[in-house]
Amino acid sequence: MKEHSSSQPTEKLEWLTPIEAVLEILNEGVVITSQENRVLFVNSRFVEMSGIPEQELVGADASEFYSAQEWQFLAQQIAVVRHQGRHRYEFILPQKDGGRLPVIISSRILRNSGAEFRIITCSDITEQVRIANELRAANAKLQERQLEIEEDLRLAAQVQTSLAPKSTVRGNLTVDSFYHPVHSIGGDFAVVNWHDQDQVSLLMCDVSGHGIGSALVANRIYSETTVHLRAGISFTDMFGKLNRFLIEDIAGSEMFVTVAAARIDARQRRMHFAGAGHPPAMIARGSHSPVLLQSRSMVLGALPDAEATSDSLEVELEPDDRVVLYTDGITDVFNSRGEMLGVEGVQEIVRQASALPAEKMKQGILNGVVAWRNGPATDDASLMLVHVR
Amino acid sequence: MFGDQNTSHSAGDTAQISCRRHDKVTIFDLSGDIDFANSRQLRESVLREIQESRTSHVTVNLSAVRYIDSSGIASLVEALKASRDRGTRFILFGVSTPARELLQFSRLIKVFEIYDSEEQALASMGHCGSVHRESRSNHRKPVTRAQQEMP
Repeated sequence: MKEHSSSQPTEKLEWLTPIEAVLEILNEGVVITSQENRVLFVNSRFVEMSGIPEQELVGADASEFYSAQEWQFLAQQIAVVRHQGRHRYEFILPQKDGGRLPVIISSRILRNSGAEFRIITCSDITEQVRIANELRAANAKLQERQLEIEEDLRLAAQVQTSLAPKSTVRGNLTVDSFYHPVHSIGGDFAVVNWHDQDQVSLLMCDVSGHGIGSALVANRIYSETTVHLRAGISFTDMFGKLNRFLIEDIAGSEMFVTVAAARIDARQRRMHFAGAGHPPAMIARGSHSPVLLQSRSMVLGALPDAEATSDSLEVELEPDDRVVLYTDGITDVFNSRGEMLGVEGVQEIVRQASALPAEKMKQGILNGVVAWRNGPATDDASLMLVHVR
Repeated sequence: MFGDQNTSHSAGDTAQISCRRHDKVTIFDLSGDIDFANSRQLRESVLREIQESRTSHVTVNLSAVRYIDSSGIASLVEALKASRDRGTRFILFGVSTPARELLQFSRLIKVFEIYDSEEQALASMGHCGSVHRESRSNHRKPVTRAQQEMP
């Protein structure tokens, strides 16, 4: 606060005397000025806030206590008060010892006996400003962290998408697939492992839930299953190993896994199929309702005795058969009446889509699901289609 | 006589979980859609009941469940495992078609003790179903805010 000239003696205002005692007990600084900005009254709280003795303040021109820049700002606020009758704004009050005190100023015009006065109250907002600054800093850190997480998720999504099987044509088989996580990453995944031109192993897997936790478990299982598929072990053994792995190594995750697995030999026109708690796979043949292949094993990761599973199914295939594997994100969609599409609904969509050329069938199924669905997808959805020529 | 305590709360936008308790039996009434958004709440409520061993029988009424997803089923399996550990009997009844379908697909239907109705479930525990049904309706009136906290 700059040095100021000595104050002029000021005549005491008659109307002020009765309320002076009230103004003294307020926890806010109070200043009363004349129309010409001469200080007529300050309470002891304002003296404490500014650090300037009362005798220096009273009678002085208010502008003497501020830098040119500060006074320019205050003059603008005074103009607003004069125009509106009252005004409220934030200000940094310069103190005599060089300190600066953040305050909220409430100012209003008072007219008495033809004269105009300004009553100014100053509330110390040091604590609020400190908290606001801390919040601002915390928000900045959170935003920074969020950007890091978003970047991590983007990379994770890229990795997960890169694991999704690509549509492939080999020998007498075409494999077409679709994968859509409801968040950037999810708990569905599929594996396609070609043994040779006409033999392929397929796996469709769904980890309960969705989001990061499911995606992490899905990626662990992806590695496990890929090893098992390449080793050519039986599906029954693979389910047993996966169940033990989930219960013993990922204990406490409270996540279950459903799996549909198929090994197709186009030369022999045979397919081995096994499911663990998974929605039934389908074989679409001509215009008939698709055949359902039910899971014979329990969901994996739920109970230790789930590994006591039955043998896989052996199915004979015919030319132009289409094998459809999917996750519950395809069946568990609701229309505007709240009706779930369900397996039966998907079965009908697959039947209709099987009339399309093989290369258009996947899109035909997806179109049918979207046509049923009211609103956006709420679960990860995967679909795999194999055309046996 | 049924419903010495009766608690109820919303589990998200689309589901409701309420609890009735008397002597040896606790019944959780579920309604609406049990999915990823509220299955944690279901799991916590049922597990707490089992772990605190307040009653020797914990049953879940699924008759008003419109939809249940794999995370909801996972919660029921967690409850089943906890009840085996604590020596509590865990029973499902009134399994709605969507819930039954999912239990069949997941091959878990044989793992649970399931009854068609509350009366049958209670009879299996040696309770008289009709008395409980009468008492049950008495306690279906709205609960106060103070009662809404799950035990």
